[in-house]
Amino acid sequence: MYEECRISRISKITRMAGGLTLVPLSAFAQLPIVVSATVEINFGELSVATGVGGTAIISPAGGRSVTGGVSEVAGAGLEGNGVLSITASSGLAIDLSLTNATFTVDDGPGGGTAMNVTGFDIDGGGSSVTVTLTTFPQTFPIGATLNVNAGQLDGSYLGTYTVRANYQ
Amino acid sequence: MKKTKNGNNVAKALLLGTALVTLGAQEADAITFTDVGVMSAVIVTPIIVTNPTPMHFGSLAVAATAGDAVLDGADGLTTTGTVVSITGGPEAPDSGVLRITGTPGRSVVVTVAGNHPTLTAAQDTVVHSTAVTQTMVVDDFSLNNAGAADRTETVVLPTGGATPGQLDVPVGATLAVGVGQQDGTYTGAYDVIANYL
Repeated sequence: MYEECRISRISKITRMAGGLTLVPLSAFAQLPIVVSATVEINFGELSVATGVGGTAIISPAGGRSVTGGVSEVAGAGLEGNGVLSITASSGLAIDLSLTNATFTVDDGPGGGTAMNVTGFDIDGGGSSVTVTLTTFPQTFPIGATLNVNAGQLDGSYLGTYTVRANYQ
Repeated sequence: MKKTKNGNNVAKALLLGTALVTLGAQEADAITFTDVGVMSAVIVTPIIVTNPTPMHFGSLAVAATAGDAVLDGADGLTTTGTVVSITGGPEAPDSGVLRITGTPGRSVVVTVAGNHPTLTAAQDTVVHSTAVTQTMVVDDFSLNNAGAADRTETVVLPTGGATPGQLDVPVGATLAVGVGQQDGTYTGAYDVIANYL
């Protein structure tokens, strides 16, 4: 996160004969965007068949579904969608997007093969959306798809993703 | 830089010009704000359920009235009504065994599904073609020898021993034998659901 302020739309400077005349400056201040991933995307506990991989999908609404050889471990109840919290100037369009289409989770050196995370979905709009804030801060749920390899080793897998925000 | 009479001022002016151009360039760039989010997942050993020992009610006979054959989780069989267990018959009573394999130390909920699993007479060569309709109801499943009608049990998979993560769960049930139940070999199946707690 950054704590900066951006000044834009500075009026032009006009050079007059015999001297420099400054016309009145008008400035339009935009608050810095404060984007914060406040809640992690948690795919919960899963198991996978030896020879068949599959996916686990966390929707922005928090629901989990699985495909292929992946099975849900029902009892743990750890799964849930992530949450992005945004504070910025009101009424301005903001582009929210992921810096990559694919991120990975792994369980450390010597552990199981890393798993790709794809299909990021910010509030149902995909991995790149344009929003205009109406509350401060405003939160946006985020889901994603975990690609589980066949025979994925047991373990706790962790990874990160980077989200960026720009004024349009 | 060209030296003039007023060289220093020119130099300053050029530097200022450069600064203004640079400022203009920064103005055109969009400022990106970023943050890093966390993702997590836990992969556990899939639970495998096998049935190394099928449940067997042994050899039974029934007379004038119907009755039950109650099989506990320790190979013990009791009967009611006119049902009798034939000692020394071709098959001895045997509790079923469900072998649960998973992550050592984890609790697993085991449930026998269905309210009235039904045994259907085997379609062997000595059974009349109409005899396949002969059925007996199996009910009151008891898991882990925990008592009658206990269809659900929570067990903890061992962390040590010869087979960490593997546990045998005995299963018993009650077989309802009807009056005039036709002779024969009866077989059937029941569903088992296991999941981590």
